[in-house]
Amino acid sequence: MFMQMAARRRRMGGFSPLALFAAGEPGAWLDPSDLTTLFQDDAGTTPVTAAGQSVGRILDKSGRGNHATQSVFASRPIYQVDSGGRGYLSFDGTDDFMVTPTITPGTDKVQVFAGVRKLSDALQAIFLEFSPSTATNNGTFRMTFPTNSGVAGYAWQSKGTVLSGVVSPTNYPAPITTVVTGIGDIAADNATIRTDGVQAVVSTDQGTGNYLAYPMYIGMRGGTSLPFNGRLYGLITRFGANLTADQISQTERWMNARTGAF
Amino acid sequence: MRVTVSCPEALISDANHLAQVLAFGPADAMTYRGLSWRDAAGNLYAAASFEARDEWVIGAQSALARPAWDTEQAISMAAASRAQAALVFAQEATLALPDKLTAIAGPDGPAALAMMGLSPVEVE
Repeated sequence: MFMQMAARRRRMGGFSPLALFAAGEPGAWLDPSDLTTLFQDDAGTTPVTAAGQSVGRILDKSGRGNHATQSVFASRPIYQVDSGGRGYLSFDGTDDFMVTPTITPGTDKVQVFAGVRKLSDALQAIFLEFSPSTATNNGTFRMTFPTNSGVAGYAWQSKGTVLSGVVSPTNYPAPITTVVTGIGDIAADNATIRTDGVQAVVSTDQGTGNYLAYPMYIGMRGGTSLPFNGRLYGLITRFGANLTADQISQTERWMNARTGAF
Repeated sequence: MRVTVSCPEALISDANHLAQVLAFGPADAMTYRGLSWRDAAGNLYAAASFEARDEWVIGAQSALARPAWDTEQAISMAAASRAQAALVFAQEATLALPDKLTAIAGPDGPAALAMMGLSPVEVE
């Protein structure tokens, strides 16, 4: 086990997602594999110490202070550990979600890396949405897992003033574990989805403008609809200059080490 | 034990008072929100699903007591009692009704809601 971990570290080259925020980029880095970042209450006074406990607060490791919280007991995800020893947040597909404080991007570029396990394709679900709804707000994005009810894919949609839509192939039937990357660049007409380190689809026009200032919802639309049924192994959202292909690959491999997708 | 509860539109206010009594604090007044589920007749429901402690199951079926934290009496115990009187607690398929707070223990949330005959309200 130790040798496997050491080999994994060598392959990662000592990479930490913290490097993505070195220039003060807005965003959030949530890492359920780090038990020290999890609390049972939203105030952060009672730490999570064991699997099966609900999570009311997960600390943002980016340094931006965008901790995600849930104050309602029934709506808190549960911390669990999978058969490979990987910690994750379990969202129940009914009412679980978390939300960050308002994040002010100040840019039209975003990169999102998510380690997930999708447990059902029955109902369309919001895994991540920047603002209460991309349907009614500009300067936003969303990840929809599954893409639509009964469709076994992942969707990434970015919006300046026009909602782009990029959808992975549909050969991701639940239950399935995947590292999903979404890249948005509004001015450059680039909206890209990558799955398990492979570029799947690129879309184009997203209209104009920057990403605007909103809270980020994890697991539901605005806390009221489209609940996600699955696991969150990790989530990195970064607003800032486009990353190099090597940075994207490093981040995906880092996420995969915590997800076990590919 | 996982418990999933469907709350009809007319009972949301009362049910959120009951949720505060059975859970941890004033934030639980938002337990039932978003009428995202409907029955075959088109009645709308909110839903909550959670891992219930034994105390919750016992408390939901016992005489209600105001929580110690509610020193300002924000909870309407009358409303909580009305919600408790409307509570149907089941471990098998039980259709949700527009005048009942229906709780199913055991299956995960989506499965329990299906057992109540509820389907999601389409959005967007």
